[in-house]
Amino acid sequence: MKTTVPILRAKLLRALKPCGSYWLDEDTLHIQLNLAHPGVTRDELLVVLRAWKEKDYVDFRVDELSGLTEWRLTASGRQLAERSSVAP
Amino acid sequence: MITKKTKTHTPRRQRDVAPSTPLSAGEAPAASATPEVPSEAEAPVAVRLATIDDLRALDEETRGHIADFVISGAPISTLRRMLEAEQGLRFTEDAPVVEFYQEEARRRWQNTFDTASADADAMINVLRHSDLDFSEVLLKALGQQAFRMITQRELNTKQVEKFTRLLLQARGQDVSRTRAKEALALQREKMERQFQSDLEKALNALADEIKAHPEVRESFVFFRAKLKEAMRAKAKIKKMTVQTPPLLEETPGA
Repeated sequence: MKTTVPILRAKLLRALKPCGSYWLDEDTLHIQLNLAHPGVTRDELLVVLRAWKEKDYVDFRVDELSGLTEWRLTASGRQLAERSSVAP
Repeated sequence: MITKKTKTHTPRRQRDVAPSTPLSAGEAPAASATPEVPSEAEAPVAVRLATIDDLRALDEETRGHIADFVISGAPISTLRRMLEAEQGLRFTEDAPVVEFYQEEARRRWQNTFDTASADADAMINVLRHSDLDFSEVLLKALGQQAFRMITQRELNTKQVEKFTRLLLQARGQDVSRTRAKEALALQREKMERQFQSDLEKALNALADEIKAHPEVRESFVFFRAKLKEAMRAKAKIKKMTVQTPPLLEETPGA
């Protein structure tokens, strides 16, 4: 079953909220989103992440040692997660 | 072994089902013909057809044991036999057991993921409150690395504790080594001062003796002046090059 965008956004908040101020690499994030119900493609994930990056809900960096792209919620993103009542 | 119950030998006839009367869910097997009353430790487990809900209803510890059992690589058929022997749950196929294991593994992983940042924070706090000197930048980097290792399944909670202890040990050894060097340098300085002081005292005592014998005074004055010159030169050389005594040099692999 294809994951709709609102469901993906909720799953994304659910996955990033418990990370706090730590950076989570994109590969692990993708695995986490597909844990219970596979269906989130990498492209779909990146579309949402980029849109949220523009709204300043998430931030990313590339780790120098591993070369992995890592993401985390910004302060605005954490407020969004709180408002959405996404419980860990 | 899935549970902590003592595995007892149950006579086969008490568990066999009559071929013409298959068990329905919840029905107990027929009573044995033998009238003996089994002791508490030997009471046979009543077997019944089970569903995945029966597995979900098990206590936390047993669910964990089942997950560990599968993780260890044991086949599902072996797990089914053990569930029947120890829990009295009979499954006619592997699918419910496999589905249960998948749910349980996801649940356990989700717990680990949700507590990863708390585990990393706990590690940082232990390091921060230790007697050793960790800068905030270093603590942040260590915390991020611990979080990364937990979420990438390279580290679990118990291993985080071990990781923290190892860090403290390594840091402690570095600090001890530095402190030992500093202590030895101070001790050396103190000994040299003491030596100079003792030498001066000895020379002054000698001078007093010579006062009593003026005929050797000239030689003694010359000797004392030369000795002081040598001591000053030595001190000057020492200030120019601070050398570590051989005992304090790094040994390979230390």
